[in-house]
Amino acid sequence: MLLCIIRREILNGFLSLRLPFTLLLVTAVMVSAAFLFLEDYQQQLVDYDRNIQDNIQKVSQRAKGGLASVFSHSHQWVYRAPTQLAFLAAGHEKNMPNAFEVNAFTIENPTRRLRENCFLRWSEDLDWTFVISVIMSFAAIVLVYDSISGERESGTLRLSMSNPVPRSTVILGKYLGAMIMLVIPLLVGMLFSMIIITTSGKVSLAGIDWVRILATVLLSLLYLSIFVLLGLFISSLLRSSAASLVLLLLAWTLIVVVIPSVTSVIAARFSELPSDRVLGRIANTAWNKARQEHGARYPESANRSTRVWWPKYSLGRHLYCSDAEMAVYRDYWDQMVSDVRFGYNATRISPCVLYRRAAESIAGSGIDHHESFVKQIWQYRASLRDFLVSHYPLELHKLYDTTEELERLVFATLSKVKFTGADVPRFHDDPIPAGDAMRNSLWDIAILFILNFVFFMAAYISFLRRDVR
Amino acid sequence: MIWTIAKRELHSNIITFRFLVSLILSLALITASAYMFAGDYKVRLDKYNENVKNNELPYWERLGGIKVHCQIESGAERFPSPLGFLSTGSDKELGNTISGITFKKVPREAVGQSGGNVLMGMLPSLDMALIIRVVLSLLALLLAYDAISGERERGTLAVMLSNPVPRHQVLLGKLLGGMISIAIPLAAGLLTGLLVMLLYGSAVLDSSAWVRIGLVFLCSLLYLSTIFMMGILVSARTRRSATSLVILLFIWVVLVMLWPNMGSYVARQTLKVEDKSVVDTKREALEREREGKIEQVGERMRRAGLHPPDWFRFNRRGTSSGYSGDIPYPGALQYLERESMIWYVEGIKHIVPLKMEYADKVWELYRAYEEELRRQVAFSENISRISPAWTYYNAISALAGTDYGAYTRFMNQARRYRQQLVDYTSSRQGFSTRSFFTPMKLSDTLTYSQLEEMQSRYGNEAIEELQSSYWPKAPVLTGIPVFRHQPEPLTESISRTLPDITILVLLNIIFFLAAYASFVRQEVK
Repeated sequence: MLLCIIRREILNGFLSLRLPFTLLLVTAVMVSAAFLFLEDYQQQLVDYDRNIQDNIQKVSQRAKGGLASVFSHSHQWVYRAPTQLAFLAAGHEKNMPNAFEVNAFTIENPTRRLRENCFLRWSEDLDWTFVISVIMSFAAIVLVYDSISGERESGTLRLSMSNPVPRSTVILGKYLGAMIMLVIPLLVGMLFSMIIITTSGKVSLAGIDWVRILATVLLSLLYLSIFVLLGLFISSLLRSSAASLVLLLLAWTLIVVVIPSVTSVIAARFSELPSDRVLGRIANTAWNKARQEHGARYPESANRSTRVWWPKYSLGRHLYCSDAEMAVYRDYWDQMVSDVRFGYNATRISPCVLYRRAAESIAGSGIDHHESFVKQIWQYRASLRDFLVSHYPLELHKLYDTTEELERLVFATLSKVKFTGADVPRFHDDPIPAGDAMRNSLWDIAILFILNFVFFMAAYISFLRRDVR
Repeated sequence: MIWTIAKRELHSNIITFRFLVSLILSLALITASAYMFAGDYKVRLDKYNENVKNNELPYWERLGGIKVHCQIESGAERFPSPLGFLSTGSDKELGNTISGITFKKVPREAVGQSGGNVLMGMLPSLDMALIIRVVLSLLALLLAYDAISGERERGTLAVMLSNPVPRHQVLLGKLLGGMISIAIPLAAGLLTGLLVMLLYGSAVLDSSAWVRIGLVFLCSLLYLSTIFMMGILVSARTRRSATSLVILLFIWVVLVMLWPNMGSYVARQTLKVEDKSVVDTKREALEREREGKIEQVGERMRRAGLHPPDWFRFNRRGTSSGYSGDIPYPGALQYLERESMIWYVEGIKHIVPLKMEYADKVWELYRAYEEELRRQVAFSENISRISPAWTYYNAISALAGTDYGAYTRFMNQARRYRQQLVDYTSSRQGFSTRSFFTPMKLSDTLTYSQLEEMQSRYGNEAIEELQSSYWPKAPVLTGIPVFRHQPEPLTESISRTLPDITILVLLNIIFFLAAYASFVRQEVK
C-alpha cells in the first residue's frame, strides 16, 4: 500500500513538470558548478604553490646574510591553503583574509592576497550547499505545497481515505514519495558533479574524504526533509492549496533569505570591536608597559613600523614586549571570530543556517578553517622564536646599542651564525582533521534531527486531526 | 472599461490571503531593516565625523601645528550614504577610510569594512532591495500566475469576453489592477521605512535624496511590473494555472536566486585577474629599486664632499641614518648642525622627485590591476543584467550611492586631493628648500665644532634650549587643503542608471506585447 502511494506521488510529480524541472535545473547547476570549481581550484593551487615557493626562495636568500637578516625586520607571508572540499561548501573563504605577515615577533596584516576581485559582488558561493539550501529547498516546497490540500480540493483524498489505509501510511507515503522525488535530482546532480571532479585528476580524494562527502549527502537529506515535513504540515493545516503555497513561500523566504542575511547585522550590532586607532593605542600601551617591566627607561613611539628588532637591541626584551603586544592582537582576532560565531548562533533558528554551518564544518572550510589557520600561524611564530633563540649566540637580555663599536661587533657575530634557508621552519596550513571536522558539525546535525522530529510530529498530528471532506 | 477591470482586479487581489501576508511581511521586514540600518548608520556617521575631525587636526599635535612641509599628512573619509537602507550595495565590502595621504603615495584603496571585522564582509545583509527583490517579486508572481489561466479555469474569462470589451483593454486592466495592488505594500513599506529612519533621527535627507527615493520607488515599480508581466505572459500561454505557477516559480528561482552567482562565476573564469600577491611583489621590487637609487644619491653627495649627519656624535636615540632610508623627519636637526642642514637641503632636491616618480610608478601598477578588476566587474554586471532582478539591483545601488561606481568616484576624488596637497607644497617651494623639514634658517645653525664646544662648556640642555628658541610656537603652514567627500551629483547618478531603467522599460514592453499576442490568440473556453 505504501509503495502504491509513493508511486502515485512520484508519477504525479513527474506529470506536473515539477520533477523534470527540478532534475534539469539541479543537474545543470551542479555540472556547471563542478566545472567552475575545478578551474578555480586548479588556479588557486597554482597561486598557492607559487606563493610558497616565492617565500622559500626569499628566506633562503636572506639566510645567506645570517641570523640578523632573516629575523630582524623581514617578514614572511604565510598563506592559507585552498580547501579541497570547497565544492561541498566553500564557506565564503574568498572574502576572508588568506595571508598574514609573520616573523618571530609579530603576526600582522591579515590580507586577502588572492586572485580575487573584492569589487565583484559575491552573493553566495556556487557550491553544493548553495544548490541544496536554496534551489532544492525551493523545489521541495513547490513539490509538496498541494500534496494534501490539493488532493482535498480535487476530492481524491476522500477517495483514498475510503479505502482501508491507515492515515499514518498515507502521510508516510506522501513523505517518502516527496523525499524520493528530491533524492533523484540530488543524487543525479551529485553523481555528475563527482564524476566531473574525480575524472579531472586535479583533486585527490582520500578515503576519509568520501566519508565526508557521504556525510554531506546525508546532511542534505536531513535538511530537505525539514522542508518536506513543513510542507506536509502546512498543506494539511490549511484548506486551500493556494494559501498553503503562500504560507510556505513566506516561510521559505524567512528561513533561506531573510534570517541568514540578518547574521552580519546582529554580529555587527553586538560587537565591541575596537577601531584601528584604539587598537593601536592599546597595543602600544601594552608594549611600553612590558618595556618598562623589562627595565627600559624610555617608552617607544606608537609607530609600529619603527619598532623592529635590530640585532643591537636586547633580544630578550624585544621578545617579551612583542608577546605583550601580540596578546592584544590575538584578543582582537579572537573577538572577530567570536562576533561572527555569535551572529551565526543568533540565526541558528533557521535550518538553512544550521545546514550551511554543518556543511562548512564537514568540508573544513569557512570560519573553522580560518580559526585553524590562525592557530597554526601562532604555532609557527613560536617555532620561529625557538629557532631564533636557540641560534642566538649572544646574551639574550643584554643591550648592545650603547656604542658604535659594540653594535658593529654584534652584526659581525650574528653574520657568522651560518644556516641555510632549509633550516628555518616552514609554514604549512594543514587541513582540519576529518575527525575534528565531523565533531564540529555534530551540534548542528543534532538540532536538525530534532527539528525533523518536531515537524514530523506536527505534520502527522495535523493530518490525523484533519477532516477529509 | 479598463478602469472597471482594474478595480475588479484590485478588489479581488486585496481580499486574498497572499496579499495580506505579503503586506504584513514587507511592512515588518522593511521596518526591521530600516531600524537596524538607522542604528548602524548612527555609528558610521559618528565614526565619519571623528575621522574627519582627526584629519583636520594637525598631524603632529605635540609640535603645535604644522611647521614644515614633510609633516603634511592627511586622510580622506567617505561620507556614508543615508540611502544605504534602500540598498546596502557593496558599501560593507568596500572601505571608506584612507589614511596617510602624502606626496609619497597615491591612495590605492580604502580600508575599514563593516565595523572593522574583516571576516564579516562575506555575510549578506538585509536591506530594502532584498525585500523588494525577493518578497514583493514573489507577490507579483502570485498575483499574476492565475490572472488568465485561473479565470479560464473558473470560466469567468468567457463571461467577461462575451461583453463588448477589446482584449487589449482586458489585459491593460489586469495589469493596472495588479500593479496598484503591488504598489500598495511597496509604498507602505517604503513609507514606514522612511518614517523609522526619520524618527530615529540619524540620517538627514536633502532634496536630492528625496528625488532619489522617488526614483527608487519608480524603479521598484518597473521591476515588479516586469515580473508581473512575465507572470501574465506565462499565465496566458498555459492551460492550467497550476502548471503556470510551477513554471513561474522555477523561472523566479533562476532569475532571482541563482543568476547573479552564475554571473560572477562566469566573469571570474572568462576575464581572469592577476593574483594580488603578484602585484604586491612587483610593488616591493619597485620599492627596492627606489631605495637603491636613494642610496646612490647619498653616495654621490658624499663623493661631492658633503657630510651626512653624524648620529653618534651627540649620542642621540634617533633611528634615521643619512639617506639610506627615509627623508628627514621634522626636528631631525635636533642639534642644529649646519653640515646636516646642507646635506638635507641638497638631498631632498633629489630624493623628493624620486619618491614622487616611484609613487606614480607604483600607482601605475595598481591602476592597471584595478582596471582589470573594473573590467571584470563590468562584465559580471552585464551578465547579471540578463535577470531583471539584478538590473534593478544595479539601478538602485547606483541611485543610493552605494555601488562600485560611487566608490571609484570617491577614490578618484581622494587622488585629486593628494594632488592638491602636492600642489600646495610645490607652490611654496616646499619640496626644494629647507622649509620641507625645518622652520630654521641656515644662519641659525651651528657647525659641529661650534656645537661640541658649546656642549663641553654648557651641556646638552643649553643646546636644546637654543634649539627650541628657534622652533616657532604657532603653526607656520596654514590653509592646507582639507578633504570633503562630495557625493555623486543627482544628474550623474541618473545618467548612470539610465541604461538599467531602459532595460526594465524594454522588458516591460516586450513582455506586454508577448502577453498580448498570446492572449489575443487564446481560446477562451
